[in-house]
Amino acid sequence: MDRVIGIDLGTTNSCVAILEGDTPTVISNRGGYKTTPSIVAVTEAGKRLVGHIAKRQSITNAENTVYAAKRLIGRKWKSPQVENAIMTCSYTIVEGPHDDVRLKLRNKVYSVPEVSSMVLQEMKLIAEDYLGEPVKKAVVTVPAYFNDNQRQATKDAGAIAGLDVIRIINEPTAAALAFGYGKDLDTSVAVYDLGGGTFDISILEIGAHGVFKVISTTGDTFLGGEDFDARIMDWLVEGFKEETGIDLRQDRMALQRLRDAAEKAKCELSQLQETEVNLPFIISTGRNEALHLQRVLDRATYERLVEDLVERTIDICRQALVDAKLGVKEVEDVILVGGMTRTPVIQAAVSAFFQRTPNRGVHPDEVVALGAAIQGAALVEDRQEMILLDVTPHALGIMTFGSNFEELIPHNTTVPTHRAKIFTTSRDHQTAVKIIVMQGDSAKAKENELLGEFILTGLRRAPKGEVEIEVTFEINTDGIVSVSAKDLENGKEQSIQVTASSGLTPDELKNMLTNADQYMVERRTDDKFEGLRQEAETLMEQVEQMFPEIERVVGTADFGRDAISKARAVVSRTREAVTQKDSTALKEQVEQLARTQRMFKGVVARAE
Amino acid sequence: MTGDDPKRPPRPGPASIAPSSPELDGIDSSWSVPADALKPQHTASESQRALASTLPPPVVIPAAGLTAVHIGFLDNSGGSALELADLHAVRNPSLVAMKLMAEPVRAAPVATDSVDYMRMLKDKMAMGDFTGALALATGILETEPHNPEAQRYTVHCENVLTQMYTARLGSLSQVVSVQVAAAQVRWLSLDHRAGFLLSLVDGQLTLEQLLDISGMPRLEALRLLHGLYEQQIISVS
Repeated sequence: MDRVIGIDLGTTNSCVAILEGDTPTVISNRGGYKTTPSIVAVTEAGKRLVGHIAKRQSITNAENTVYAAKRLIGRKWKSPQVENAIMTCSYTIVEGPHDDVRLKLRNKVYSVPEVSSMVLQEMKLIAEDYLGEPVKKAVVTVPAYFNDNQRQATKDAGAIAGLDVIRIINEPTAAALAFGYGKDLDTSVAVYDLGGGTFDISILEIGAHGVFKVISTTGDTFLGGEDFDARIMDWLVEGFKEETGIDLRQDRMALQRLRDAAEKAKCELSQLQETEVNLPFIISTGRNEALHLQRVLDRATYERLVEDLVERTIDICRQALVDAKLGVKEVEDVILVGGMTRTPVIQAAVSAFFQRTPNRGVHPDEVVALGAAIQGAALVEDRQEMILLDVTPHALGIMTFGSNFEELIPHNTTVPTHRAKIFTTSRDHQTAVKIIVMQGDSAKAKENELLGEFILTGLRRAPKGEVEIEVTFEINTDGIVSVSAKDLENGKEQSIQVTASSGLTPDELKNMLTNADQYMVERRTDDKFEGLRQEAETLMEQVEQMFPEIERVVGTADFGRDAISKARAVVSRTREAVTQKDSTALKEQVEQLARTQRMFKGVVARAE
Repeated sequence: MTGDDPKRPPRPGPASIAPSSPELDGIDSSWSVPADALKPQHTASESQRALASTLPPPVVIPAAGLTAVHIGFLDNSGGSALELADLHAVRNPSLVAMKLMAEPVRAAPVATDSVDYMRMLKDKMAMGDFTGALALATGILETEPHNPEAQRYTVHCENVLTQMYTARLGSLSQVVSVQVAAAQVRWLSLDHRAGFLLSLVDGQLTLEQLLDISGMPRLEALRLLHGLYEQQIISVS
């Protein structure tokens, strides 16, 4: 049976998990970290960097480093979120050919799913390294507010990465799933998710027989751990400026170091009462000397610096409860998600608002990926009691007179589904109606997403409100929405089909898949070479260390001198193969080195 | 606040000979005057210098870990003294230009006579001072961006210096570690760019990865890493 990995594809960090036996487990990356920054960069040499290494150069190579691609995935070019990103992002955002968004790195243009696929590919590799086998299937999480296009774009990103995304699930649902795993709960929970770049609060109902229902979800896509880091950075920069008159913001290298140090200080202050920020040689004075930055930040100062940010999250929680029509006391559990929730001041604020201590049974960085892994295993093992139902993430409906939105299929409706409603004309002698199909949860049409439109003509000329038109929405098991409008008097009918689109054509997707495959082949070849190189270095060191002893034992005999000379030639050829990056030659030399080492060991052992 | 504090411990012994003049501090001349090169292999004759003016000299790259550096056409009349004297002789343009190498953000020298600079460049090439030659070539290109000879020498010097630093550091897939205790780092004599590179060293990244994320030109990052390595501030394995 295929293994299914669960991936939390986060705005700032991603995490991958699997179900081992009955235990959901997060897999560490090569650096030993359980989360990997969702950052992709292209170096001057055209090399792709993903994860921690990309983060380490994100300021010094800001124009060619993509972070928070999730804020852009599946968005239309003219959406407010894209306009905001164009204003704030350091990388170049350009218009795509299908009213979508593209990102320019060095001189190449990438689609957003393509960039996200690089992060997913990294998560796939982490899982494959751990499992020792190829991974083909995944469950990927997305924010509850993602619309169908954003979900489709995430699926496409998975496909480009070589993953069959068998299910997309909501992040709060995944968190609740991991929280409720192995328990039979019937409760209302709040999922407070403060990540690196975004804040989400969701109120869910966990019902008997594994029903997880998102009642309300809201948040701020521009509020997260990075804002907390920025406050510390500002504090450091201002302090340094007061002391030396030098503005560190003018130097990218200094800023990169400050950013890393601020994040580290923030993490340390979750455990300690104070921490020292020590950045030697932070900047040049211009007089052939470099200055050091050294400051102690205590928790009280830090909490004062971020007070308003914490308060902003609480205001959003308040709104989430209003949307859910629930009182604070009706929320029976609070689940904390995201590394930022380790911060004591945040825990205290959440406890105070919800009037209860947040649950400490789940790991904030891992819980979403763990939930995805649980769902993935349930899907392949067909454990019906744990399988989440596929539901509509947002309401579907049409625009009516006065730019209002008339809902036909409410959000959270189980798919497949079918709903119909009767409408009338809004003007006298109206002979045609325009059916504007939308998705969203606002009563105002302009705040919802346009999915498509069509016109039904040939209506009888009559006073307004007399001609009746039946509008029918149908969503099939593949998530394809069909909308039809029928004149109930004359039976005339028009319809459209709406499929979620990531903004990529099938041909584009195919090309991206080919490129991604090619990259993987190169990456695997490099990994293979690196493994061989390390083996070769170890063997060469061992063989070279044995030369003096071998020379002492057999160096006087002709055959001994011949063996030593041959061994030295093998070492030399190995070095040459390493320099030339020739995997085939290196493999051959490693085998010869191993034989030489065994032979030398035997000679030494016999001499003893 | 700076590394000039008298209480600081002595700098870890560098393998190369550092410039004696304070104004030369930070200028990489270690390639021109390595310990073994004080007994140089060749005398730069007029004919050799003439040849060098048309063809960049050959370079033998030592294997990693070896201290001997054989640089073709290195003058044998006392490498260190000649190098310093030469620097002083051409003090204004070349010194400024050489400092450019160390701090590339500074303004280029104003070339009043590019023919003179080209002659000095060729002299430096003849002596195997590729750092100095590169600085001069860069300076010439600042005022004459399309000078083909300067372009050719720039590429050549960059290649040679890259090979030299790489040869001394060894395989770029080696992992880099800091050899100095964190508390001692501030007492070292570094500039802020070397300090930045040092801050990136985490015991997990390889030389190649450090070059990738340095945000500096590759040669500049290599030069700084080589400097840190020579001062035994970092190690590779």
